[in-house]
Amino acid sequence: MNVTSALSRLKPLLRFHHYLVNYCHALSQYWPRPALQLHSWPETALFTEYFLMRRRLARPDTHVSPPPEPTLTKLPGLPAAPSHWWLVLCRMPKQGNTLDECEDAWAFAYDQECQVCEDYDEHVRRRLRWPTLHNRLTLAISDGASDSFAPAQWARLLTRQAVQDRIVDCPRERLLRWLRDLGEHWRASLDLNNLPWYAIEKAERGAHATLLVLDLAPNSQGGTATWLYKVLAIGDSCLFHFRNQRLQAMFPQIKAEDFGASPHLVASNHDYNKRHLTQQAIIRGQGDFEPGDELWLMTDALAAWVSQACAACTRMPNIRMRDIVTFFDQLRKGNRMRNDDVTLLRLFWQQS
Amino acid sequence: MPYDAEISRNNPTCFLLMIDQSGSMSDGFAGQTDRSKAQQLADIINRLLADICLRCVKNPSEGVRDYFYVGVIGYGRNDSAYPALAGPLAGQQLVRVSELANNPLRVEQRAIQVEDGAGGLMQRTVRFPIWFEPLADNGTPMCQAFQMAYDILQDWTKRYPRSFPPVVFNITDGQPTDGDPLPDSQRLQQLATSDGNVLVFNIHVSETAGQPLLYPEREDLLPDDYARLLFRMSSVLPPHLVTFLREEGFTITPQSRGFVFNANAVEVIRFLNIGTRPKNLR
Repeated sequence: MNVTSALSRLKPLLRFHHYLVNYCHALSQYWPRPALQLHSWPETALFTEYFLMRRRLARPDTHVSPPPEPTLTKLPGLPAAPSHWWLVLCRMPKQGNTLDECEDAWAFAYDQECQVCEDYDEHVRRRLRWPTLHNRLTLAISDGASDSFAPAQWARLLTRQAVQDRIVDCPRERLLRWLRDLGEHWRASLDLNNLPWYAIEKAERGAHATLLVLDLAPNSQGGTATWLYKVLAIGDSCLFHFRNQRLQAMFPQIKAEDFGASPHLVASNHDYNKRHLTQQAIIRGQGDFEPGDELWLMTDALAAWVSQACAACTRMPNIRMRDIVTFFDQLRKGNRMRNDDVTLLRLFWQQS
Repeated sequence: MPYDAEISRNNPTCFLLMIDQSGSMSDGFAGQTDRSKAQQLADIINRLLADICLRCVKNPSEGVRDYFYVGVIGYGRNDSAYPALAGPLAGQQLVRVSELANNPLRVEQRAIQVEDGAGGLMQRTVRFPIWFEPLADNGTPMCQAFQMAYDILQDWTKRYPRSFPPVVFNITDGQPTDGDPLPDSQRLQQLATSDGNVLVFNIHVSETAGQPLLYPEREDLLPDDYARLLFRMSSVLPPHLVTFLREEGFTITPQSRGFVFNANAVEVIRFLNIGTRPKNLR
């Protein structure tokens, strides 16, 4: 046996060991919370491998017990939660840029403990499953404006705080106060000592980003097993709601040809927000989320393509999630999608 | 589709400013006698250069990304055309934007008025870098300036054959004194990258009060031969600038030219800002 073949045989074992170490770490960190680990898995640990490994770990000869499946909590007056929630997350930089240059951000929080999840280190895509959800799920995406200062940091701060603070129902005045505090926090986090004139001036002008927040909660009306989603959107990051493979709703409603114009933006600068974030700039919407439905949250480049695809054919566009990198590359090369950072959060659930 | 190329560090674009520094620039803009056109234009150019630099600043640690090359040609002094950047960049025809940002002649502190967020105005001090000094001297050798621009951009387009094509702004207040600039302007517009021909925009500033004529589509709308000459010297606006100007509330058609006549300071600033706004910056 030569060295190469020996290494190739060892590789799966090493990989499994790597998973095991990560998994134990994740267990120690989250136990006894619902088993949703985002932080330790390499890019190759896609959904299938992840759940296969959970089974392996559950064998009696292993010394690690799997985390308990969260039990379904049926609250009085609320519908039974569906059995399988799926969230597919994808974040890709512009072609030619590295992932750490990507100025999009996403975050989500789920259930009562408000576990905020975000990850910007290595993942292009990720697929998650909850056996159940108890009472909430909040998702947020943001597209940092390239010509502003530290837009990626601003987009991350916005999404993280938006899912934590559940801002969907905030009236404008409260939203502005929330943004003012967040802007001050962003400004305080910058170290501008000994920087040249352009860094200081640019920091004074602040950061800008779009913001799309989706809040999902059980719908207790009518006694049916549906959930109600509410959305708040500023700018051209969009939510698409599909039912029976057809477009049910889009927030905000933007025609394909209107993407690329100057969108409304959330700024770290309070004065800017007071002037520009009018009631008309803050788009709100809501709808029922039923078994089989899909909710897609995405930033503008992909939203323009989806919007165009929906206008041409009412059926839900087919996004090849299994090979998303090639899929987006093909769209870009065919000039069907602008070369921009892309974030896609795709949420759907199946009732057993 | 032309004028669609992405602007990146590998495929930068270029802005070249041609500034009339003839004797007549010592007069003020229409209705303004306290400051000369040369002084006001120097402020406008310095502010524009600062804005171009700031567009390339992404975060505190990274510095300035080289999305653009920038050059400033003056014409007037000694009846000639010359590179007009001052300070450490004196004599350079075209510089990377990072060189520009890091080498101003000086950085002044200036007070500006900004909205205070409560319906009023407040003063704020800003850092105001200076690269370009006002000057008003001699005639208007515009043909020489176009020839210099041609030489500069001929090299540049060979070096970056797939980039978004260079944009040239010619800012003048009077008729050329060294011949007919139309052939030189047309020759300059013939230079091209694979994304389109060099764009030449003309801005005519005036000390006489009169209605500015903005982005005309036909030369029969113009008042005199000189205005019609500048119209013919100007490129048709590319689609993204048509969109940007429409967003600003202008009535623009696909035939509208990058030309403003009898412009006041506000219109000069607006056109320079919009004309240098990138469509597709990576």
